[in-house]
Amino acid sequence: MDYNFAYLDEQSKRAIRRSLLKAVAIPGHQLPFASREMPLPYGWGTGGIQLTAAIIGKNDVLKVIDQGADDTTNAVSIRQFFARVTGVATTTKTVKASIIQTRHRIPETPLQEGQIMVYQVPMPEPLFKLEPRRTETRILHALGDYSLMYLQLYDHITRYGRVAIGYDFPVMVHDRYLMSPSPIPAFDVPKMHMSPALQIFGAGREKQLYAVPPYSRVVPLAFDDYPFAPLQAQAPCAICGSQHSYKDEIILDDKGTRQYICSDTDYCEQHRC
Amino acid sequence: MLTSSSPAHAPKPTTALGPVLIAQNLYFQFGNQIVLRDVSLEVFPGEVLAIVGESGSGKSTLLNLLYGNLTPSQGIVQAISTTGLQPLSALSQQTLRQLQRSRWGYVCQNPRDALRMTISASGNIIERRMAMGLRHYGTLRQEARHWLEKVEIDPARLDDLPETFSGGMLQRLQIARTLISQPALLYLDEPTSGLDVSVQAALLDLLRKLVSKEQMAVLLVTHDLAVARLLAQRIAVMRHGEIIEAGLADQVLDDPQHPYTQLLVSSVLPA
Amino acid sequence: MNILEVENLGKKFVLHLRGGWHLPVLQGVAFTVAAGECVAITGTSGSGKSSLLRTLYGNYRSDSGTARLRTEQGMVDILQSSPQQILALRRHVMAYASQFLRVIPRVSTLEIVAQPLMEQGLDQQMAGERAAAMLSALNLPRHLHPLPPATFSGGEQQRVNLARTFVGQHPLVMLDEPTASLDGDNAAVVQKLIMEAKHSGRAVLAVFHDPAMVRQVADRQYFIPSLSEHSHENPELQ
Repeated sequence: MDYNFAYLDEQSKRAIRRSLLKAVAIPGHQLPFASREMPLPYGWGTGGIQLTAAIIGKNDVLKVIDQGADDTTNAVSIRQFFARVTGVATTTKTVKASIIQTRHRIPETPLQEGQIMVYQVPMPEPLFKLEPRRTETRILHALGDYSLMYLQLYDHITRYGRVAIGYDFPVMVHDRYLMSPSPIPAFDVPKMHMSPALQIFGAGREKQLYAVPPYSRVVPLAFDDYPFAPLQAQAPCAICGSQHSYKDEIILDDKGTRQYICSDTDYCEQHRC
Repeated sequence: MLTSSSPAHAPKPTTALGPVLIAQNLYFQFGNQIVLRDVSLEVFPGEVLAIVGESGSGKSTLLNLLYGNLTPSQGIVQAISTTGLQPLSALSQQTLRQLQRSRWGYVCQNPRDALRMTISASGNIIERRMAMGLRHYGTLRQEARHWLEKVEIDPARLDDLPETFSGGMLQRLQIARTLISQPALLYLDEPTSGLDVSVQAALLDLLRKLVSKEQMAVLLVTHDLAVARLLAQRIAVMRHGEIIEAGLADQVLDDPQHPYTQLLVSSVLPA
Repeated sequence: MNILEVENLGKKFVLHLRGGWHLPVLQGVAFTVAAGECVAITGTSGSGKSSLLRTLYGNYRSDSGTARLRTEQGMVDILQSSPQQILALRRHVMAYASQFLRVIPRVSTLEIVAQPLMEQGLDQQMAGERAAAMLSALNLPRHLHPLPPATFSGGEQQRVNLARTFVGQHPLVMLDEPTASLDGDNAAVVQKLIMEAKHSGRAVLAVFHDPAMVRQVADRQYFIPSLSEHSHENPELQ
């Protein structure tokens, strides 16, 4: 069966690109888009796929990661999907990719100018858990009133002694909009700040997209006396020995023996000797 | 000769301060039903103006107009902003909201409507300070503790959830949360109506002290004449969307002129 | 020098709940009170003595006449004053003690008495000290000061009321039967307070139930004219 290039019809792709242009013009600001039915269920990356479909061209090289890995089900099936409906080259190497679609991670290898990060987003509204009314959160964004989010941080420090948000850490983009960085670990948030790559975010079920243009300020929320301090693994990678990467924790036996290995498989391979 | 008593008794210059809220000839219509008719009033710093009347008299609508939540069909509301008196109709939604969260305060009848029940008591108290840009956890905590004491809640309850508080404590918490920004203009909407009589008395006493200490201008809406007598210097009586009588609180209550006011006053059960 | 000049003051109640019945209480009231003077208002029971004081204090409205009060800004007609002006007059120029103390729940005796001073701009400590001194002068011992007066006896409540009235040193002090519920010792204290007020150049306007008090402190009496008759004055009592 023949599909249009990149599965979506040209008009749908255009509509998404138009929204993306606006999103780039207003960094961190959520925009609605006409999210289509995709050949996989909501929650599996339909937002990210539609964004990738809208921007991908014949000369692009695509990398897809899920939790940092190129070889998990979600990553493999999305990569194969695009290989089939576009015929573009795919890669697992961060440095070779022009488009990187991701779920839950930013590659350890620094991004470069010209690269585009496409994030799969389950819940684009950072205030969702604190203010369930969409009409109200829109007003709060319009007014730049984010004391609600600071309230949550305040309560975290009070209860746990620190801001106990491990992933999807709320960030301010360009000192204006509060943004969900998607469920990437807090560890990855600093990589967003002043990144040379274009970063775009798609939420298929919620039908929202947003963007962070290259070299934008992305600053995690913090108090003056409780600065942003993400947790880091206690041990180097058991495979490549890296001290600096983000690790997955693997429990090896019933006694709780554990091992830490890089979550970014490409990075881990580069560092193995 | 007359004021030779003592130099410490020289009059304070409070009388020179102008009003912080002016309403002129307000009308409000729902379809062709006139809810408010030609309402005018002023509130000065350091005074409490009570709007009394039965439910349905239009006092809640009036409060909403004066707070900027509703726009009058006719007439002008001017209220204190960061740059003096401003007509509310000239304010952007953003400015209005900022004023509502800093220079003004609003205490409603049911504290559960205003409080964040899933956030700690101290978090509730300091929300306005964070909205004003304070980003120092230690300072915020200190201020929360200070205000908890001011509204006479045990500081040990600092980090308890509001769910665990009694009705009177919840109302105190709402008051602390509102007054922390030191508003120049305070709206009180039936602040003690939902409370037991003993709790009510304590709360009224607290409000009275805070209001006189902070030199706020207060607009109090109540159906309870006893509350109005305790807190207010002036009273305006509303009926059918009109202010039918206004004046000094004790004068309106002790020598009511309008038939309806006489009926209201004579209907109060003796304490 | 007159502190208060009342002319042609008239007051009636209109009882709307009784079909608009008109009940005149005061008519053609005219008198003056000078600095350093105590004027006693007399009249038969129901002649409107209390109503007159209440009208002058702004607690009742009037229907006619003027009541000019001396202030730093010159003579001000109480009857034509706005609520804000009356509140300012009450803060700084005139004080009034009703027959009964209207208590505010939970507020301590000391606070009640200190309040007029704080409204005049004194700080809490200074106001508290002067209030305590005034209460002690009226034989209310210190252990009662922190208590709300709701549970006090009638005489104790009346002394709290008087303390609050005298403490602010207002140029005009109005008293409604100040010694009615007091024993002889305390009545003597009130007499002393009135004399002190007079000596410091302040004016006192009072309704006394006790003819002896009138003889002891009043310089003049003013008989409230019975309705539809002419008012008259009875000068030089002492």
